[in-house]
Amino acid sequence: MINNGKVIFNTKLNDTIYYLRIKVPISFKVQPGQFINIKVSDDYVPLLRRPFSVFNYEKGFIDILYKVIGDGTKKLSQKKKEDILDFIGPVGNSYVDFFSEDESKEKNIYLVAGGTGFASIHFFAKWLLNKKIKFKLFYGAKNKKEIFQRFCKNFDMVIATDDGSLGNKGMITSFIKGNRETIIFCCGPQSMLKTIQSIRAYKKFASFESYMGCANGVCLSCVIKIKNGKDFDYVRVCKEGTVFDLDDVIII
Amino acid sequence: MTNKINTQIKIGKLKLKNPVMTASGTFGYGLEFEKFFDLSKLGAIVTKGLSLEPVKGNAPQRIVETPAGMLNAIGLQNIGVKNFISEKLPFLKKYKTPIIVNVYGRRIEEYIEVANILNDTEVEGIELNISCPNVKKGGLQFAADKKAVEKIINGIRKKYKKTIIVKLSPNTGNIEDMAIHCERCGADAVSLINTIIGMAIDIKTRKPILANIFGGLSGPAIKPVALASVFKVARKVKIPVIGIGGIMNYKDALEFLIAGATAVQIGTANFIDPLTCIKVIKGLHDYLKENKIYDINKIIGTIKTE
Repeated sequence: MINNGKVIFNTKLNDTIYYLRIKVPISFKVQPGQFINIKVSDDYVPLLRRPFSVFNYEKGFIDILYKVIGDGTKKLSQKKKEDILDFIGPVGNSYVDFFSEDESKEKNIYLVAGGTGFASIHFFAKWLLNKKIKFKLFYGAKNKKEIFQRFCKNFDMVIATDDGSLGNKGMITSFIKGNRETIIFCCGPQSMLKTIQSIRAYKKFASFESYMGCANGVCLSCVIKIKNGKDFDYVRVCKEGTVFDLDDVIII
Repeated sequence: MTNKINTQIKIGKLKLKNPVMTASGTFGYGLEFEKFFDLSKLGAIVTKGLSLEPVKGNAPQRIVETPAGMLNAIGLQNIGVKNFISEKLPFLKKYKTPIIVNVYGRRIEEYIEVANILNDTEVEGIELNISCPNVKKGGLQFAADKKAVEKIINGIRKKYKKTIIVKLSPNTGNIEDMAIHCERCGADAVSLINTIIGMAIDIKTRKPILANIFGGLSGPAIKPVALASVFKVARKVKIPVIGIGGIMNYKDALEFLIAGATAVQIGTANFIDPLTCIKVIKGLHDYLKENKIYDINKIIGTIKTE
């Protein structure tokens, strides 16, 4: 569970987004939607580990696509080739846990990625591609700088940007026409997930982001509201998630 | 021939194989750490705070990182003592380490009821959480109320025969007075400190970052405060003091032992390195060996102030 991985590269892709590759033991296995919890600092600031969705996994290498937002991601962006990263994982469930190959033959698989939510959706898209399962990717971001087409070879894709600098102009969700034959897997900002809740579909699953303390199920910091009859429960994103049936989630 | 090093200490009726315990709320119900190490190596396991009935907890955001620390306002979300006994304890009790349940009540009677339920189980001790800063009822309202604390301890003692630890807060009143009071009321030990009330504000929205507005500060940032509290209390009471607050490694733990703590609890560090407890246990052992101190009790309270 606690691993050491060597940094292969940690490349800046634009003003704030980095692409990190870590060499991991061959025995390390990870599924799309799962994340790793990286120790970004050896001192006490920042103190906590930082969770990152796995962007890709191939033959002993895991890739992370991340945006520099605060002290933790800034520290991570300073890691150099050959540095050793201490990380815990894989953590959480996977899109695959909710995926049925039989169902996919009769239904239309839609993947929806908003902003850096692209990271975990990308991994799932590659997984589907590998299994030769058809899907359509709806990919939205602020502007063309934040759309990473280079990673989308052979994806059937619809793009939307807020400013129209690439693809359609507007929210990516306004370009999704769902029906009873649609199965949606999505990851992105809560506002996007809330909009997707109102799109018609056979089934919808979403990977949630949350502020985490331990990513080990004990601190109960990362909870979201899950329906329980007329009531609700607070459920851990790190343990029961990060992927949930979107219809079960109460988004505030 | 190597001399064997004794790391065993006593807390009330409990004999711990070493002085390293887990701090409540940072170790769940123990089982989440099975995949990291053998739980039998711990001095004791202290569970997440348990109440009579399950508690939902506070609305998110429940946590925020601060310099060298973190604020939490979980609101004591827990599965309730009965579910703990039926779902968690059967797995937890197979480890050769004492289980201490952290007990939380909204009313005086609730503490007593939970303790009575635990009296008939394998749980070997209770830690009374009278100092949680994150719940409106119970918790902190009792931390400065000597009469209420007396009623809780006396009420539990009527039936409960095992070890009672009272967890104290630096947030209200005088922690030394409260520790002395707990000793008089018949507590077997006191543990300190609980988290310190704090807050953080988002300057863009001008809203508190935590939905609860306030949270409990933990981590290395509070270690000096915790150490001073332990030092002060240990001079005033005869019952064991359990030191808690920002312990990240064996050196931090040693400071608490030297200040007068008989045992320590590791909290926030479990989030960052799940192996911290094991590393502290080994670090203490190696330290004693190197310094030819063959009994850990020989280092407790050995602070030199002159």
